[in-house]
Amino acid sequence: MAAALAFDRRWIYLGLGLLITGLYAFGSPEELPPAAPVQEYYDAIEKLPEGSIVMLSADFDPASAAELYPMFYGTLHHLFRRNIRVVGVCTWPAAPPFSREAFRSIAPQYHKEYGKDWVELGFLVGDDVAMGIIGQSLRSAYPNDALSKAPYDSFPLLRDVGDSSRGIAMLITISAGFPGILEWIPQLCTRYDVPVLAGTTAVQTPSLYPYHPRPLLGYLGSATGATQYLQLVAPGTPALVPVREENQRRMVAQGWGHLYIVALIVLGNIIYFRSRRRAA
Amino acid sequence: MKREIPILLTVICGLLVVAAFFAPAPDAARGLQPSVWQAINSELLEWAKILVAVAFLLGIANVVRINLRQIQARHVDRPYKVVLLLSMFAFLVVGLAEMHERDLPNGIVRVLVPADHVTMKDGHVVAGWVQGATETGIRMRDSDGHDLPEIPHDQVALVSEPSAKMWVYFKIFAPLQATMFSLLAFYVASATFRAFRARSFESTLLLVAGAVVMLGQVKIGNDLTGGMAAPVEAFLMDNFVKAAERAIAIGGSLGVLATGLRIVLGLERSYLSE
Repeated sequence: MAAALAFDRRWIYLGLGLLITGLYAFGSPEELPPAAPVQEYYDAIEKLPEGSIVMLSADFDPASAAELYPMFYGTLHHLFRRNIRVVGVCTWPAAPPFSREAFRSIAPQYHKEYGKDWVELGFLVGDDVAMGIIGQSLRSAYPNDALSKAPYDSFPLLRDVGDSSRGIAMLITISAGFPGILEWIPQLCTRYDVPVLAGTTAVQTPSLYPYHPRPLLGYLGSATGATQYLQLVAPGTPALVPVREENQRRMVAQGWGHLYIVALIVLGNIIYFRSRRRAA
Repeated sequence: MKREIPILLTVICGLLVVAAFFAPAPDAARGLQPSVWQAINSELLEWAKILVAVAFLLGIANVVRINLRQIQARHVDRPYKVVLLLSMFAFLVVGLAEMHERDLPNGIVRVLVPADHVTMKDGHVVAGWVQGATETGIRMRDSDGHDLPEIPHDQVALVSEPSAKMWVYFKIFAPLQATMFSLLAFYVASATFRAFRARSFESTLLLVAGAVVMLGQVKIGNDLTGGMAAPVEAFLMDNFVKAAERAIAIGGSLGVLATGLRIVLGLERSYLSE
């Protein structure tokens, strides 16, 4: 058994690498049926009245961007398409470039005006303490915006939010870990009755289960959730079609990657049991 | 007194934060103004925010101290330490230069901050450094530090503001971090082959549940099992995993509550290195 298991592990790496890159490059996109929490996420945004104010929090970094950025990108399209006003915040220091990129590329497509339809408040240091400050008073958390450094009250959108977070109709967090959705819930959502939606990495998704369906109305779990959501949003949004197709191709590669790992588990156990029988 | 004063401060701050939590939140619609407890809480949260920011600076100082010491001691990883410090300071300098572009001498701005370009509707391009926008137009400065005539908004077709900081972020930092994270998939594949063994009933249960969840999570896995993997996975996640997560969340919260109480009552002093 030792000999069978002791072969160079780089063969395993090579097999997985070839499988994933090959399928990603040449696989054709496949449609996935939407899971219930994904449909709930979509429906919750659809039900928001036009002109509502949503706080969209980018709580991730490049390590998890492959899973989470498509969620952020799709959500922002969805919100602007529905004429929802968006306040962008970040609690991860490496998140603002992604957030800025998305706002800058998407807002002009819907002719959204900075300060009136969207505002970027940027990164706030302090993790869950920062979330507590945001919950208590957005104005004291962010005396200025991130783009123009103009005072809070110079933006009509922020004047409509007011001082307390009760002016926020919903929080949407795209969250990779700490601080993220599990900190937003006690600091803002349950304390100030703000409904919340979340997009998270596969690793973090099970930790959301206790909070669903209240206060967490719906969630996007991992790249699968992102793909299912993009399938729902893309039909009315041509700019999202290539993003959806890319995610669908990723899911084909990921699916075969899962099979590869399950096959390795089975193979490892066959070798283990055969060697045990021989030893007996 | 060296012990009593910090404990007293902790107890007072802890009680004030707890009191603020139970005070009604300000709500203009219901005529509720921020209470005195919340004003105190806001102030304490501001202090906490400042402390976290200072911790960032301490972190930088610590990274410099540790790595400089190892460079001086000719540690075997010395080249990597040098790269780490150089990268950190290069990014810091570029980032600070872009943030404080308006206050820096022109010579430094020319070297560290890429020039902006404003393309006019007639095709003419103006190069310089954008200083901001007024209600009527865009203000720019040339490479000698002189203010250019304001460019009216209605004549502008495109404003391009390249950023060295963002270039480093998207072209170097993001791919490196994403690569590090994606390497996990390869380690997981190798570990499953070598370590996941059905040695006991419990480990077999864990292994089978893990395999079912992996298959149920993806379309191909579900198709290969005749559509059985997804419902079984949903059953496991909705019942066993949800119940376990709830138990962990409730247990963890009770633990946090107990620790918080011990700190507020001055019984827990490990934060004083006792």
